[in-house]
Amino acid sequence: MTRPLGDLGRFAEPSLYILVSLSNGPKHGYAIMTDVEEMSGSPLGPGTLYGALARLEKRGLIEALEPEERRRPYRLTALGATTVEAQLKSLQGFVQTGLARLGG
Amino acid sequence: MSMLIRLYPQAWRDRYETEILDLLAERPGSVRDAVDLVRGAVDAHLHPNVSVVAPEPGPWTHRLPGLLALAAGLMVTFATLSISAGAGPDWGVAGNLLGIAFLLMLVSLPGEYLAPYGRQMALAFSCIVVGVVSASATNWWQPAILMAIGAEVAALSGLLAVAAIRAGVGSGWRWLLVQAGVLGPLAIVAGITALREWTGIALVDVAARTTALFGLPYGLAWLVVGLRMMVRGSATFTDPPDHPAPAPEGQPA
Repeated sequence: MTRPLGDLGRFAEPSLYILVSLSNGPKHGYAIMTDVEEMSGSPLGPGTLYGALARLEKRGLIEALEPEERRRPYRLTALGATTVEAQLKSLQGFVQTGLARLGG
Repeated sequence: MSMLIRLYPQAWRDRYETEILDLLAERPGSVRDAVDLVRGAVDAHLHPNVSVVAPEPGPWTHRLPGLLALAAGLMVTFATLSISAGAGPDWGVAGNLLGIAFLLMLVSLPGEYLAPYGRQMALAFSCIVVGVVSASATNWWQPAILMAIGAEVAALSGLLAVAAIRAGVGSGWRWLLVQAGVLGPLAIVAGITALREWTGIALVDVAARTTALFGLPYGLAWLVVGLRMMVRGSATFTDPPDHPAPAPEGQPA
């Protein structure tokens, strides 16, 4: 049973981007930040990034790996993968509905 | 920009400071990032439980530096007490203990940690050597002793500062105040004693036993720092130079 990300408040959207960013493999903070900025087209601040990472880690959606030099990579957990999949499917339904209405 | 990290709660800093400092080093800071960090700090204070993740226990070898620092603190404390208490000061035992304690302090701090302060430490040790050599060569002991005392206080202060920073015991101005409280009285008493020996001017008649007592806070400070280093773990000489981060999570490397 996955919890929606909506109750994360202002961290909900960055959290979804972070989960998507980690979907293709572990990344450290800076890599996540640049990846999210590429996907969203808007900057992701360091305070927001780590606020979201802390919440995702607390929920067990991501986990920290052993540090590589000073960088600590994060990876998606099984629960995180399920959650992001559910969130994206929900969004997909929403997008299809919206596009169908516009088209109709 | 990195100064803003100090706005965050200690638990948050213990966990994420190293990572976020590394991230900030990789890209130029902007006003937007600064504002974002401040907002993040407010959030971390409002939701303190969010960022606290239980640290993983580190390997036992990471307890060794703390153990050495703790032993150094015990030796300094015992040496100062042995001079100031008892029937008569035992200078021989105290001197040996202080010498061993100084070596333990050096060994407890891997070279990579001392490296950023290498110039200052080299200057302090050079002053000690120059003071002792020039004194023995010219028999001009008084200025040499003053120089050596100043250098020793600087070196001891530097060692304690590096150890405290590694142990995560305070930083910045807060730590400077602690340093001033620990070493300031020692430096003042040593200066007064040297002045009396050099010029005959006795501002305060301080006995050797009393002077030694001023070393007590320094020993106690090493005890605190050593304990903290043991609890948190600290990198050792056996760690590869490129992987200086100690095992406990989030500890600054």
